[in-house]
Amino acid sequence: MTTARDGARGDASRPESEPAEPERISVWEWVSGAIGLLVVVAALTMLLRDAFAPSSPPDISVRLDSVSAGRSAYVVHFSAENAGREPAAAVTVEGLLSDGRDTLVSTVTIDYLPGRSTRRGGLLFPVDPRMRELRMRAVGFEDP
Amino acid sequence: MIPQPDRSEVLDRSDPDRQFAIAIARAFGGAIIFGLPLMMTMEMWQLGSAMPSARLALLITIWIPLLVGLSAVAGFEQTLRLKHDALDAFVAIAVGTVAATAILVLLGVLDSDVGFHEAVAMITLQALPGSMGALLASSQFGSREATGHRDGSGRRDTWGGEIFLMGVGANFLAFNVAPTEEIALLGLEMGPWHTVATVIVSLLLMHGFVYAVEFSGQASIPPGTPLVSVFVRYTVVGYVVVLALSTFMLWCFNRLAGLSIAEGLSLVIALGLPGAIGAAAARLIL
Repeated sequence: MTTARDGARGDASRPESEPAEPERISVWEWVSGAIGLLVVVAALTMLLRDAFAPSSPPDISVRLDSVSAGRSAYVVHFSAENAGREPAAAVTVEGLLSDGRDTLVSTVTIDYLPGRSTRRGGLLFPVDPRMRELRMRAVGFEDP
Repeated sequence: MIPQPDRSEVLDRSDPDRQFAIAIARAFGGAIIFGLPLMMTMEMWQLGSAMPSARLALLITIWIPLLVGLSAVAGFEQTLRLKHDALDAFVAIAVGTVAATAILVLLGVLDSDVGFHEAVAMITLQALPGSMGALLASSQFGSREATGHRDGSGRRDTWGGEIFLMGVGANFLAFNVAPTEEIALLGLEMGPWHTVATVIVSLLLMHGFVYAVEFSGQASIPPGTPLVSVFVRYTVVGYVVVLALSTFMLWCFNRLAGLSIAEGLSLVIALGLPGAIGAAAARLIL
């Protein structure tokens, strides 16, 4: 190998910096490189489409998933979904439990709710929410 | 002088697949070592979707020539051609993406609750430091004799190459700190005297490393170069690069929004401290 290159170096017609034989590249390297290129193109396409789309503020809805009984309280499991593209931070979710006369209020704060994503949480009540009327909603958020 | 056949070169040429398998294994190691601290940083899970999409797109676009340049000075094997450097950069991106996805799923950060767009933004952002680690790993773990860039034969030994490497080092260390809440807090907590002192300490630390490089006898700084010349050409220029990178990174991560110029500047200078150390150390380590 080295002798071949030495021979090439002596040859005046060939520039010195050029290797004597082309560098062999594994086909797997090309495959991995293509995957990398695909990742970059896909991510850029998605991000730029997002960047030039009209603004879409957080659009948060709260859905009841299930109710379970803990040792000291009943747990209302919920999902908060942000249908907007922009993220929301410090999303306050409020649950109102009423039996016609009294209303119990529980609140919880979701630290971060990105656009088009769902986060789960729970609200605690001292009485069984299945026996009463339960309303849940997001009452506010902060721009992250 | 009789040229000695280089064993690794013989191996390289006889089986590129085997050689690539070794390089890719090293690259995964590097991606995880460099990327793990950020994969376990809470702010990084949210930052991808919280930062403006156009800025993340810009960061990715700038990252690619950075990787290509890094490959040219310290990448997988000794690469001579731009085509191969570009290929290495995209391989590194692929490795960074796979490593980030795997670790984020392993840690339960990436689960079914995460929306598709959020997941893509999160993985892409995490893949960037990982891809840098992947590229560096081959130069760090690989045998230096095989790559040969320590012999003063590489492009790194020019002034531009040195400054580029400083930028890479600054980028790496600053990226680890920039996403955190702490850096935002520091900008507000530091008084004017703290800021001035941080600038001086950053410059002194950088120059200390420059001396260490000088003692290591690299070609770019010949012995006997005047102190002022070294200070201005390497330390000061390097620090300007560091501050520019800090500003860009903070702007990308939307950390400068709503700050006064003085607050923003102290934030940039606070981030410039790890940046300066990264920049200065890079010239010794890479």
